[in-house]
Amino acid sequence: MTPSRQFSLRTLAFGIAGMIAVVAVLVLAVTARSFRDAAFAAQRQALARVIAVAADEAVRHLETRLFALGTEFQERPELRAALARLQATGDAAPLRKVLDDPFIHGFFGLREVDLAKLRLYDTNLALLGQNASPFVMPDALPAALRRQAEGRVGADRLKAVSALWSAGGHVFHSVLLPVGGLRLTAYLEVVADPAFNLRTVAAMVGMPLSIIDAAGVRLYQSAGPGGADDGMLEIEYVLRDSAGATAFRLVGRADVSVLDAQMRHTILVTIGLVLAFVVLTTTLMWAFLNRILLRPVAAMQGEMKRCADGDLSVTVGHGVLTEFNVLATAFNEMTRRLAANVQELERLSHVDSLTGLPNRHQFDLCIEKEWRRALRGRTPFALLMVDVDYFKLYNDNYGHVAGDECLRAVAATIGRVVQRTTDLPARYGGEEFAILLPETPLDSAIALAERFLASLAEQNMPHAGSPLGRISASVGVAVCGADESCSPAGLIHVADAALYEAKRTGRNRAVVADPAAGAGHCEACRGFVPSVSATAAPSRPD
Amino acid sequence: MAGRIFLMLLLALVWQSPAMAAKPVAPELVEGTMRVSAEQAVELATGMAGLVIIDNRYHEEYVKGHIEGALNLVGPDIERAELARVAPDRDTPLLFYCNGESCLRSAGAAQKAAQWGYRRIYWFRGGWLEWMAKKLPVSK
Repeated sequence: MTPSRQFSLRTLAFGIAGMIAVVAVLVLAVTARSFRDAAFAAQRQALARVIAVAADEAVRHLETRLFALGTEFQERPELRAALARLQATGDAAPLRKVLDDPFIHGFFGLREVDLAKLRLYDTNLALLGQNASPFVMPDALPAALRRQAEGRVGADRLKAVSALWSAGGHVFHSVLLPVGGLRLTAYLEVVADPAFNLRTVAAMVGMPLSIIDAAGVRLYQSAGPGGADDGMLEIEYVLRDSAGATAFRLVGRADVSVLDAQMRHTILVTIGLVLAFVVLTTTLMWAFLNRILLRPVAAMQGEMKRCADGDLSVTVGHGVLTEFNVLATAFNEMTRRLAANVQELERLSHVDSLTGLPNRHQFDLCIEKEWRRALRGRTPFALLMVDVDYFKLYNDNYGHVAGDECLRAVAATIGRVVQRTTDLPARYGGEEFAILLPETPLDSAIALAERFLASLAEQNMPHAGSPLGRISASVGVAVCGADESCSPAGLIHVADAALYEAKRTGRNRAVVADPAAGAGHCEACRGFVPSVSATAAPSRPD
Repeated sequence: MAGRIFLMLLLALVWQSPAMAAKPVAPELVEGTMRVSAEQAVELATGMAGLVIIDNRYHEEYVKGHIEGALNLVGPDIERAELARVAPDRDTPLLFYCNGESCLRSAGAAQKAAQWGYRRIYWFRGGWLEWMAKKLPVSK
């Protein structure tokens, strides 16, 4: 059964190539997307690390500055004197005066530090005094510093400590350092606002930067493009205080339009290359397939069609594919056998299997053909009808096997006397034979009939049921010039009538057709029949 | 002439060799001295009467900051007379330091002091780098 939807091998090959191309492009598109995301993620991570390093550096720089400023400040004689006075007399006024001195604040401010507070503690970390400042913070050492400074002994008490700490929604950076050099008399805490110093991060990382506090308030925004454009990548770094809480969010904005454009370009080039590769591969595959499969299959298809149209002589050529060769060999073998079978069948359909003479079917075909040829050539045309005498009795006497043998012998005799290849002896039916003799005049036909009867007599095949004691035959001879008023059937009728006459007049003889017998059947036959005569066949004396 | 050039080349080669090697590092120990840490140096500076602290760094470095009370004798080629001026007595405790382990000056100076017969020599090998890293008080 033929499926309703069919497609050719070429369509299949094109379909597969197309599918490969589509899948390749789809995979590339998806991969390119992930690749782009991954590249941006890596870029974001790298830039966040850059901001982290820069922020660390800014904080460390602030710490160093505070340490240096604190060291200088604690060496000032007026501070040491005020401290000594406080410790000796309890008078805090001189110390306050020193701490609130505007000159001192100018001194700190010039050093790129946004000073928030100056506080002095005794060696047990109890607050001795602090300056007035707009910054609000608890009047005690911040816990982050206390944790580091408390409980130290010996030289460790002289080490400066620092911390980033939060109070009241504000973040500070403090350095606590000893006053009095190696002879500890008090501690000085220098407190600064780190947001001021974190601004340098923008310059260090070379990108626009926002500093946002823990409450989400934007403290600083460096110059540069704002807004969330496509070409900008937002990078956030969270700076944590000593307690681990968010102190600041540093949000940088990197211009990734160049990177983006490069990636798009790379992706397009890659897709182009893959498509080119697919096209090239498909073309090569196509050429290869065409050579080893499609062309041989098309050829085989043509040969098979010729075979289906009836030409069994076709053979399919071999190719390089094993499977194809197996098919071709099988096909060739199949057509070879089919041709042999057809030939055999054809032969069988034209030959009488018992006698080996052409059968009635072949006779009918030939008489028609020869009749037309005689019409064209206006040539005489003879027909002998032969019937074995007393054949029923022979069969009764000797059996059917012997009867068949008898028929074979008679047929062989006919075959011997008919020598022209154009003549056609045939088994007409039962014990009756017909001999078609194209381009044969009456005398030649009679001569042939007589040769046949003589040959039969010579063989002297015994037949107990025959008065002659041997097998004999009767022959009806009819000859006519082919004419359109006549027909093969008419000729057969006339010959049959002559045969009947031969039987009636004693058998073992040839009788030439009586024109009267052919009347109404074949007018033309008369012209060739000289007279009504019965020619007795020569017979043996017995 | 050729011989002289050859000699110069040879000298240049010999001169270059140590420079090609790894950076010099101060010895772990100097004979006749006691090695101390920053904390021990603080204890000595605050607790030992008569201790003379000697900063063997260059003067420019010294003025930027030093250990409180330190004297600046640029090492390692300190003069015996110079040392004798600040520490006339061989029993005077001395504390030498310079920049740290990459600096050989204090080690050389301390070694010389030991050779000259000083008996109480302390060598602060970590020097100024260790001092600053530990955020100890700086004097100017």
